[in-house]
Amino acid sequence: MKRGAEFTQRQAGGKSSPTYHLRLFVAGDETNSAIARASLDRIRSEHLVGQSCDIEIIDVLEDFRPALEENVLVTPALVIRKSGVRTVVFGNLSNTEKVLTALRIGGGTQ
Amino acid sequence: MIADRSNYEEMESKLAEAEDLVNALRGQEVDAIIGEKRIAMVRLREAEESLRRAKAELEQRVVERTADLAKVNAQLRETIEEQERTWRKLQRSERRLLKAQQIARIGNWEWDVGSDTQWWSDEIYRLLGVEPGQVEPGCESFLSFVHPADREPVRSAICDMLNEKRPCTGEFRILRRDGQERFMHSEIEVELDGQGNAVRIMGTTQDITDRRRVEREMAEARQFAESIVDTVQECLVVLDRQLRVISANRSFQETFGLPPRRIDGRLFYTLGDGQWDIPELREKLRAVLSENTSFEGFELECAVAGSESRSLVLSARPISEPVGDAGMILLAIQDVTAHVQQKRQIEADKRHLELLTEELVVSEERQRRQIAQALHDTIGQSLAFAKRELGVMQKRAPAEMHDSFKQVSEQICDAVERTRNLTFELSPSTLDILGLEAAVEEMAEQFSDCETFACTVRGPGQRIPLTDHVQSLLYRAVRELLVNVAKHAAARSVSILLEQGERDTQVIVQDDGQGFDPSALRADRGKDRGFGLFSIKERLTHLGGSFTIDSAEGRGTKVTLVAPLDIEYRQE
Repeated sequence: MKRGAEFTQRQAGGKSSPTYHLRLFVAGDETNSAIARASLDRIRSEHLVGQSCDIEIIDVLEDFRPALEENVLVTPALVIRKSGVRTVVFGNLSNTEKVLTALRIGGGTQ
Repeated sequence: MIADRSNYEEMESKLAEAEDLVNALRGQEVDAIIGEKRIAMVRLREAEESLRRAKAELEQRVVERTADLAKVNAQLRETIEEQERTWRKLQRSERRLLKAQQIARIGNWEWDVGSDTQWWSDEIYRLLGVEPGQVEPGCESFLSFVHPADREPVRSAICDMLNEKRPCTGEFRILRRDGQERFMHSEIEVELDGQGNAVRIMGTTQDITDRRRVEREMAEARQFAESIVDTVQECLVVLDRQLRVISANRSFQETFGLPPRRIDGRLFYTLGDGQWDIPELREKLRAVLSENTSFEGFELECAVAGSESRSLVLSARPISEPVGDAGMILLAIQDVTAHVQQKRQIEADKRHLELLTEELVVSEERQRRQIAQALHDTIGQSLAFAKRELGVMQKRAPAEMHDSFKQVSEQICDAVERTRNLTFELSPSTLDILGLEAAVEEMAEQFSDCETFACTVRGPGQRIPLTDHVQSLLYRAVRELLVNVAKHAAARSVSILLEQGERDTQVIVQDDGQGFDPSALRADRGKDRGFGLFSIKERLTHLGGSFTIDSAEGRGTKVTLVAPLDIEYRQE
């Protein structure tokens, strides 16, 4: 798995809506990491349609420095940036409610 | 303030993050922990899973092992119980064998040839009349019990068996210690090794004294029965269900000239020249077994080889075997040829006698008539002449002689009368000239004149066609009856009725006298003289007629005579 930029997707959604910068840290194909990837994929296709969103997936087994830089000490972890606000969600993202809250917080309380 | 607030929010955010991190760790949703220099992989779930699997596997193995152990345990227990059962069975079997040997008076023994040692079962000792173990088992000690007369044959039989290495059987006597002589039967088998050498000899010895005795008694009984059967004059044949001859006695063999080889086992109806192949007889014999019936007195004429036809009377009845229900037939054949011949001879003699009797009657009648004729022609004529001459002489004779003449004349008259009566009695001329009815009427008048009863006669009024001697017989029978009435009946009237039927004539003589018991007459017949009632009856019966008395005390007597009409007359 390659680093972030190449996997970044930018969706041409609404002009005024803020952009989500999502960074998912995973450890190879470990169980929770695979669940996290699938969960994020599902959330994006179900809840972030029409949103401007770029997603970067970083495999710490290939390079763990970006994780240290982000101060992420465990995987899987999703770092959400929106309008300069940074939120981190740990775990395999199977709790969709928790992720959606983090995303709403990221976008709503600004 | 703003700075503080910012710091506070940052701190709160960090706290939330930390809380989230802890929750993720608790929820085992973490794969890796990133350190300064390296990454630690977290696989708690897998570890737990494998641990759980290992534990489960272990538990499974424990369960399986426990089950295996329980199974082995059960098998072991089963094996032990089986062995115990087998052992108990063996013990029971041994006890039974001992008991069976005791009951059957049979013992067994073994002889190990190599070591020349013998083993005897307890019963062997008992058969020899000693206690088990009282003598050392061995050939010589056994031979010492064998009857001296049988000892050498037994010894040589043992030698032969050892040499020929073949099973053998034998019977011999032993002398027991108590002096009893017993019969023994032995069955011996030889066990050989690979090279054909005798290694072991096994045998049984049985006391057959009782069996011998029973066999002897049965043989004697059978001989006794057979001697009886052979002595019996009647021919006896025993047949099986298929009518095959099981046995035939000597009488049968001799009577029909058949040797046993031509009888035994053959079908009865094929014996001899096929003279027994009579469908009716075969049917009757089959019915004996199928319907369990018997028959007697089946008569048949049967040709026998070398002699004339024989008259036989056959009887058969079913007999059952003592064991089972196979069913046999006992057929008894009585040769009645001689009997039948005698019977025929008697019949012929009787017929001859009857002819003689008839001839006698006719001849008697003829003689009577001749005598009557002679009486009439000679004495009657002479007397008539004498009487006439005397009458002439009386007229010429002196008066003093008249009385004498009268007396002589009366005497001559009396003689004439008597001669006439005698002539009439011997052969009434009326009977010859006018027939039975007229003669009976004349006789009735005579009796009415002389006796105390009135006698009436009724008849057809014309001559009844009868042969001379039947007519004479009936006439004298009526006369005899009337004499009897006069003598015994004390009757006031007698009626005589003559009737002519189609084939015979009937004469009924009925009186109103005191009657009598007819059965007394039969007992009395020996006393009858001459032409008695019995004689009348005999003669009428012989002619084909009858004689019946109907009488009882106080009821008068009615006698009915029946005699045949003259055949030649009827044919005309």
